[in-house]
Amino acid sequence: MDLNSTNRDWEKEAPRLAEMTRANPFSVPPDYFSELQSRLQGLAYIQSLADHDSTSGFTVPDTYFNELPENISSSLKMERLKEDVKEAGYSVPEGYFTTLNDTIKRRTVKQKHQKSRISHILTSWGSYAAAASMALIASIGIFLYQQNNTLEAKLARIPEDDIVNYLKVHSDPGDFPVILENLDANELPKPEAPLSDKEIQQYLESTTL
Amino acid sequence: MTGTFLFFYMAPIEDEEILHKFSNEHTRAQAFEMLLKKYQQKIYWHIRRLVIDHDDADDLVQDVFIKVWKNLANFRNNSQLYTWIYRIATNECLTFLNKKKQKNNVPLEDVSYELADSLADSTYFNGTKAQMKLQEALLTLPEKQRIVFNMKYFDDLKYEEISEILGTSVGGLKASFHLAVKKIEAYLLNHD
Repeated sequence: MDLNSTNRDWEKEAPRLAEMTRANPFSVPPDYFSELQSRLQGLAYIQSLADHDSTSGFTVPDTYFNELPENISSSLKMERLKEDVKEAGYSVPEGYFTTLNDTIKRRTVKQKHQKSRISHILTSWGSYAAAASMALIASIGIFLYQQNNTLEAKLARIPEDDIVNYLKVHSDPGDFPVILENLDANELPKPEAPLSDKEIQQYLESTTL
Repeated sequence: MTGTFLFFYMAPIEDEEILHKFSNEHTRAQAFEMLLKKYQQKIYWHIRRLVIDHDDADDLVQDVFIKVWKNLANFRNNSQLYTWIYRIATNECLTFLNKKKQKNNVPLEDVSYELADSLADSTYFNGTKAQMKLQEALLTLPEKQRIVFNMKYFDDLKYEEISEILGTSVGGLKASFHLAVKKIEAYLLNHD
């Protein structure tokens, strides 16, 4: 074989290979190259943003741009896969979702009833406690009110001078010792002149029953 | 009629124009769009022939052009733009295949079996039986030999261009290519 030959002399050495058409046996998905162009321009744009110094302050994780082409590619593969395989392929027994509905309801409603029983009991106890508190407060209130409304309480509120003056005007003879008891010695009227024993005797004879 | 002609005629995008626009921040995105229009398919197919699976090729082509975007500003014009891009793509593929080997803890030739399985199961393979056999034959070659064969046979690159891409001498590449041709011919004969 002539290694210096730059022409297609090898064809003489390999006739089978030479007779084959040099067609490209590989193919690509439809619109692949136009899509590729857009994708590559997009990646370049993103790369330029990453390289640009006067950024707006945004940063990305260190390996982001290295992983980005792979991530974009994965997303595209995923999209293509979704187009080819629309469903997961799993199935369930017939009527499954109907019975599932009932099962769930049964379990949640039961729980709801249990919960409402407990809350009902708690609510009852709470109301009893509230009623008892109200009764106690009312009792105390009534008691205090009554305390304030006894005769002694009322009289305690009237000034002593008013009572004495009243008794002076409206008193019976039996009230006299009580009046004297409660009068201050200074309040007793002083006679202008001392009375003789004879005058006192006459007075007593005239007033005694 | 003239309008139709003009509509279908697109002036080839020059690498100098791409590099010039890319050097200006305001026209960088436009330059990248032009670069993609010119090279994305070529690079994709270069990658695809090496890794076989479309999804793997899709991942790698994104990685390649992200690297191109990041590093084009540093491109020194000491090689052609497309050989520079090809080099990035080839290195990405070799790294990918090595990782596959390490991940599965298998020798490199067993990675080829995996690729052959991928070929057999592939949704995106529309070749004839003969073309399938050719791809199987290619997978029996060492990686570098397969790369050289692909670039010469399918991409019709010159040895000088392949030398720029792989950093191998022209003589070495010629030897590599002719060895590959011999092995493939033998495979096709034996698996008739």
